[in-house]
Amino acid sequence: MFSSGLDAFVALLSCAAVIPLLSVIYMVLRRGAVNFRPSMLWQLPPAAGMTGGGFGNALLGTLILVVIGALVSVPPGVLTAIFLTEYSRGSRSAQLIRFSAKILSGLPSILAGVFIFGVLVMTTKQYSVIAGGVALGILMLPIVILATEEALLRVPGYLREASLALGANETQTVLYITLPAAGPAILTGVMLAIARAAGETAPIIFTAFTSPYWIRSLREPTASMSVLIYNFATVPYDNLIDMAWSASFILIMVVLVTNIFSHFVVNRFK
Amino acid sequence: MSENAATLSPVTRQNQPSILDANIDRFCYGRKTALRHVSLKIPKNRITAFIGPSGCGKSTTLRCFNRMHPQNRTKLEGQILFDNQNLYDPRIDPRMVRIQIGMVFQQPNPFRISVFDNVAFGLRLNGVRHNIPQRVENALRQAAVWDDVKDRLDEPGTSLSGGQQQRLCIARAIAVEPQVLLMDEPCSALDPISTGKIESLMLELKKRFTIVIVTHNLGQAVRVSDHLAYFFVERDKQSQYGRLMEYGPTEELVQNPKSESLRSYLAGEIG
Repeated sequence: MFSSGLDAFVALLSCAAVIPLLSVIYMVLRRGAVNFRPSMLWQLPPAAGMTGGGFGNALLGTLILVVIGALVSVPPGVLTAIFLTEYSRGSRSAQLIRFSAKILSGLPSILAGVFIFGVLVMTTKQYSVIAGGVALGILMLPIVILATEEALLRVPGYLREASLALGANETQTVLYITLPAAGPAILTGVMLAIARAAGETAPIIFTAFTSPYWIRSLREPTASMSVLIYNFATVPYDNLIDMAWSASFILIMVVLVTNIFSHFVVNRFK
Repeated sequence: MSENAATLSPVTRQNQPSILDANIDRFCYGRKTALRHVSLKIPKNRITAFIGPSGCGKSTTLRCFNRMHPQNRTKLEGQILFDNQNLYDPRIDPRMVRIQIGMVFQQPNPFRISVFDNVAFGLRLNGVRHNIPQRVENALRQAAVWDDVKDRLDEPGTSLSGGQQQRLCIARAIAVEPQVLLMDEPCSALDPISTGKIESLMLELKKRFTIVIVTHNLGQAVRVSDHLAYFFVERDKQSQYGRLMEYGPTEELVQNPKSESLRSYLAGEIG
C-alpha cells in the first residue's frame, strides 16, 4: 500500500518536473517552427515595421562566437585537466586548481561579461566578436576542465601501467594511451560546454553587443542568436516577435543537432 | 614462526648463471616499510615463482625488478643487479630497465587499439622502424596466440577473449625482446583452460626468457617453476612488512620446507 502510494507520488513529481521542459519545447515549436522560413537562415533582419528578412547574421555570429570560445577554452582546459590527473594528482596545487574551477563553474554569466567588458572592451574601446568569444570561453573553461578531469580519471590505471611497463614515459603515455581512451568523454564535455555557451545572452550583450549587419571583422560587434531573441522579443512588431520565436527554434535545433552529433561520434569511438 | 628461516640459500647449484641478483634491505612506500631482507638470485632461463599469503610482498618485490613503483613516493635501500649493473643506480633510466625487463599483469590489459598496434606499440615507442609486421607476427607466434588472431589483426585488442587478451599482452611484452619477463598473477583472472595454455606457454618461453611469476596458486607454482621463493608477513610492534622466508629449487622446498610457516602454507593452512 505504502509502496504503491510512494510510486504514484514519485510518478506525479516526475511528470511535474517534465512539464516545464515540454511546455517550453511545445511553445517554441508552435510559435517558432510554424513561422519559420528557410530564407531566415541567410537573410538579414528587416528594418522595424518591415516584413520578411531573417537572422542569418545572428546565426553566423553565434557559431563564430562559440568557435572562438572553444578555441579559447578547450586547449587550456584539457591541459589543466591533464596536469590535475597525470602530473599532480592529490597535490596542493591540484586541489587549489580544482577548487578554482568549481568556483568558476558557478560564476554568474553576467559577471564573465562585465569582466571581459572591463578587460577587452574598455581597453580597445570597441565591442568585438573576440571579446564575446573570450567571455564565452571563460564560461566554458570550468566545464571543460571538470569534464576532462572526470574522463581522465575514468581511464583505468592498468592501461597507464601497461604503457609504462613497455618503456613509455609519462608524456607518451598521456598522448598515446590516456587521452585517446578518454577522448569520447572529453568530447562530450566540450559539446556540453558549447551547448551552454550557445544560449548565453548576458555576457554577449556586454562584449559582442549586436549588429544589424553581417560580420566583416572579428574586431567589430556582431549579432548573435541569443541577443537577437532578447531584442526582438521586446519590440512591438509582430514580424520581429515571430522571428524571435523562429530564432529560438533554430537555437534549440542547433544545440540538439550538436548533441546528437557528439553522441554519434562518441558511440563510433566506443 | 621459526627463527632459523633461511633467507639466503644456494640457488645456483645447477651452475645456472643468475640474471638478477637482488639484495633489498628495505623498501618503503611513503613512510611505510613494505619489504625487508629480500635477497635472492634469479637464475637465467628458468622460471622462478613467488608464493606466500596476501600482503607478504611478492608483488612489491616483483615490481622492484622493473622499477614500476612510482619513483617519488618509494625508496629502496639495497641494490638489484641486472647483468652486474645496479638497476637503482641514479644514472639508470627506469624506462631502459622496463625495456629489458618486461611485465605481464594480473588483469589482461590490452590497449583499446588494434591487435597489431598493441604488439607494435612497444616497438614503435623504442624507435623500431623496420620489419614491424614480421616482428609482430613473431611475437604473436611465440605467445601462442597467432592462430587465434591472424585474421583479426585489425580488430581492437579488447575484443578478444580473456585468455587471448592475456596471451596478446605476453606478445606485447616480448615483442621488444626483453631478457626477463615478470608475470604478476597472470592467470588469476582466467578460466582453467586458458590458465593451462599460459602455463605450457611459459615452459616454452623460458628457453628464450627468464621468467619470474607471482602466483596465488600453489599447484601452478609447483607445475611450472624451477625455483620457489616463499614470502611471509612479518609483524613487529609498529608495522608489518613482507620478507623472504625461504628460497631454493622448487622440489627441495616443497619436499623439505625448513620453516614452520612454509610447512603450513604448503599444507593449505595459511594462504
